[in-house]
Amino acid sequence: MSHENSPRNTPGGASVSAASDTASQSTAPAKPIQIKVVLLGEAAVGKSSLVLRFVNDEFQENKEPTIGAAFLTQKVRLDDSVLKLDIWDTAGQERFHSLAPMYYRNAQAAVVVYDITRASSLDRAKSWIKELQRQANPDIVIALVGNKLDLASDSPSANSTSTPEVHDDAADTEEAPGDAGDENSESEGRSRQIATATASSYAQSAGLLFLEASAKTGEGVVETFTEIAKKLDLNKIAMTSRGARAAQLNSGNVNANLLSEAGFAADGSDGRTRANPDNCAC
Amino acid sequence: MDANGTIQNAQRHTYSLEDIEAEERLEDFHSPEWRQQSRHFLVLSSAGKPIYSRYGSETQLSTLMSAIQAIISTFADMSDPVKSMMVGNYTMVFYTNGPLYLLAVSNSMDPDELLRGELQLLHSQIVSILTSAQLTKIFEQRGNFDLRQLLGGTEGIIDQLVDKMGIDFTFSLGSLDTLWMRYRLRDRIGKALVNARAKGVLYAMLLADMKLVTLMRPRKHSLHPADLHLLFNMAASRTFSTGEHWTPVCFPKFNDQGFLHVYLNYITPSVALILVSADRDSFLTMTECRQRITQDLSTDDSLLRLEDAASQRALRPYELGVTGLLQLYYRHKMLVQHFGTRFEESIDENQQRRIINTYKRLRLYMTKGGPNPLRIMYHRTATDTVLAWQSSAFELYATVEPSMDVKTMIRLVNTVLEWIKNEEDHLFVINAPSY
Repeated sequence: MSHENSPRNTPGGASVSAASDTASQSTAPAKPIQIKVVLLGEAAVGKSSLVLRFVNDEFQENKEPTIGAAFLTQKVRLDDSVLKLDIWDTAGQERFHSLAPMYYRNAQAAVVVYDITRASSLDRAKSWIKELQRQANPDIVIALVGNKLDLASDSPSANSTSTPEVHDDAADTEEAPGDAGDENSESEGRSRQIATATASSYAQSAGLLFLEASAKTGEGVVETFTEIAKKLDLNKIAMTSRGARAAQLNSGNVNANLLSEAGFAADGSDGRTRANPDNCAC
Repeated sequence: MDANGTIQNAQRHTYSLEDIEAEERLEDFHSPEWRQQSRHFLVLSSAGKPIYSRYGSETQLSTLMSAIQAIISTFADMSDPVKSMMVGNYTMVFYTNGPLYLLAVSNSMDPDELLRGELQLLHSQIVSILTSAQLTKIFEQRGNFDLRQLLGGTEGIIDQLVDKMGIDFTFSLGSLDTLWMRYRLRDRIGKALVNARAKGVLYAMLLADMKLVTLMRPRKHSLHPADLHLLFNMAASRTFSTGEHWTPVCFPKFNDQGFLHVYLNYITPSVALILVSADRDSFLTMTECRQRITQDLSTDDSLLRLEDAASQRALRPYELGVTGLLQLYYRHKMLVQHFGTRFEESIDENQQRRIINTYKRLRLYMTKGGPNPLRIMYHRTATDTVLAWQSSAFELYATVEPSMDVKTMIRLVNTVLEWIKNEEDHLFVINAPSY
């Protein structure tokens, strides 16, 4: 079910899920509306796994941690429009934090993920949400998503899935950044620590969409993106997107400060010839 | 010291890949499994905080790390830094660089220089994740900082480097491993990289299983092979297998103070495209560049043929037109490139490690041999017959059937050299495109 249509060789290509298959054929050839979505959240909460489930309908046990950020696309159909979701899946590690604004800048939607079995991850999610509300596009649609629902004993799906202990091995190798005093011991993180009501009432007060999901079973994953799509002001986005895209293109110019920052200045301290900005990038 | 006793009593043991998984579960350095590893690599901060250990959990190793820190700082206080120690069969080599202390422990009778070289590469790997500037700053501000917070998520990449150093000659050769493929196809692909180049793309390269397909670079600059080894090691991580990726990477030999930005995408199941830029906001430019490259290579069957070449893996020894050859490396000195064959199928993993280890030692003797370096070295034991040979143009390392006599071996090597001469265009990246 998953591998045949996983568009590994053609990222950004026409990866269309079963749900949206018909969009390309039947309806009028309306140009897809491009939506930038960013995923944020603590390390090892399952951001990449949610995206992989949504885009390729697959799940990898022991997924390697994301490095930097990964970019994937998926088309979805909503009523008469086709949306092309440009999804930025960011790394949760602390050292990438300073890069985050690059990904949520101009984003129309954000999925902030926590792990329902790790209390600290909701705090991290809340601080991401604060940052988004302060610094991101004021119209941004934010969804708070509690992942690893398959590990919750109160979830109906818990009965059908086995071996929860292999679910998040990645968590064992990743320290929760920033809160060394509050060690998440590894024996924790195996059962629910965050009640649905707690997160839900927070989400309501902060004006967020709220869902619980499991990348492993697929529960709630498509719903997350559908709910976001429904909440977007598509008319407004369609109107402004052309201008925004042009602006994005312009920001692709190499600027001289960055070049010198990266070592293209002619200091030659290690004795090797360095390219100078005049003849390397232009 | 407790650690000494531990190491002294340990038995000689070479592990197989099947063991690794079981052993990784054992966290405690008192456990026999931990002690039996033939190669240990440890990293700690100058304050004695654990940063990395190939085996076991760093937290469980904190007593050991403190002991190491004590040894290093005791000698440092006497302004006579400790370089290495012999304990029973084990060699312990120390390397300190700024706020980081690194230690290698090996029971393979490795010369100190070899292990120190590997520790330097391990150090570079950490720098490539964080930059020297950041490392220095962090420890200046907080000497007691737990660096694992910042290295989180990269353990897999560091482990992979350490493991590869043990079984792959590439890192010691200090040159680039190249993919054997048709010259015309490589040339065609190189042109596609140049044609698709956009402003801001500094380097573009294609990579299959850590072997270089081709590389586009500025006319007046090339990246140091050690920097590329680290990049290729990173690119081999499974995390990149789906989607397009964008991440800052520091190239320590190029500039250890700052980041370049790397675009990475597997354009076929086995082939990764890597684009390097100085501008962290240039992802869009990179992804458009990738589209042009794949579109171009899809107009004919180039992409398919590339995947075909990439999925073939390395040459088998008999494909070099000789019998009795078990494994061979050939390093082209001028191009700073090399290729290696697979091992003959009968060679088990222990023997492979032993042979690679022999190569490393022979190379060390040949290249660090003073004003009149050795040209030819012949190494023969009951099990291994190895020849190392360097001229002004090449270095060659060959393992042959143990029973083969010297005369036959020389004849074999000459035949191989003839074959390489004929195949040179296909073995190496001869006309790497520049702009």
